[in-house]
Amino acid sequence: MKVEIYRLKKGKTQEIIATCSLIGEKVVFEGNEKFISRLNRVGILDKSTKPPRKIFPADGVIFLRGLRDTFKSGYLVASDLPEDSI
Amino acid sequence: MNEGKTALVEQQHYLYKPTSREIDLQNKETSGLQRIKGSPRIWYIDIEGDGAGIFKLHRYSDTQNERAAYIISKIVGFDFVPPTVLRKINGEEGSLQEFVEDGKFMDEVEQSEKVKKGLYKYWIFGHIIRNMERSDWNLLVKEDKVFSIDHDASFDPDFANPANFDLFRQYYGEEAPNELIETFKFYLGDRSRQETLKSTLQELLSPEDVEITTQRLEHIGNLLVKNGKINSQTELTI
Repeated sequence: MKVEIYRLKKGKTQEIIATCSLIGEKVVFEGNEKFISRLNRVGILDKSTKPPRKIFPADGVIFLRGLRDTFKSGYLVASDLPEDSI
Repeated sequence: MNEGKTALVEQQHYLYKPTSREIDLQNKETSGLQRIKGSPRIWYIDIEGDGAGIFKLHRYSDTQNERAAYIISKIVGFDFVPPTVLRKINGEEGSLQEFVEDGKFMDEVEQSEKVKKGLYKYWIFGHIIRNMERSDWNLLVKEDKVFSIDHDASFDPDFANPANFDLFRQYYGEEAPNELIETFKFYLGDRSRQETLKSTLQELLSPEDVEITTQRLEHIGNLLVKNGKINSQTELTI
């Protein structure tokens, strides 16, 4: 189960900036080191809890699911995670 | 003049006048439509003879929030949301936002003083539009200027606790940039600007959201003008 994060560049080209895969209960990355390092450090938002919180790769599937709601600006876009793959 | 006519004159007085760029985005032919890999919800679009845009489909997200965030940024004077309009393209309703060519992410730039000031502004903006997603991923930096992007999840109804908007950055106790204080002074001293904002937002948001947003603008603006900083989350509780 994996999510790809695309970065939009000039001239409509898109590159995969990171691939996020669930290995065991943790998300591991391949790709741009600076991006991945920041993502590991900063985390992403999980609005499904009250109060909302930050989640990190160690949170596993929840983190993987949250990528789509985080990267939706067009400049960075996370691919959908098929629900049936979880 | 009778009452009806007076009301009409007042209303006209507070009409928002779109910029030439907004008019272009609204009316120019588009081409080269390309669905962005990874998502069926977003298209990249060429604008006739002049740049490109990010088109978000309304059936997947609250695109009117994208326009509302732009309007707030423009009228109040933040001036850091790329021009954004609502329009129909290829039969789809959505928001079209000017593409920031060569925009960089936080992991790609040095944090200059100007960028740091932009980040403070970005933090305050998140509180005003009630957007919890003000992470490093929803801002771009170009020539030291910070741009705020991706506002469809704004005007969050679950907004009572300021901590919700502090998850990615907070600057309590730190002096606000002078430009931001001046921006608020100008806005708070200009009734016409305030009324124009209100009437324009009324076309995009619920009456309750317009009320909450304008209240927050006034409250946060007054704090910054009076104290030059925000001291605590408690101060931001309205």
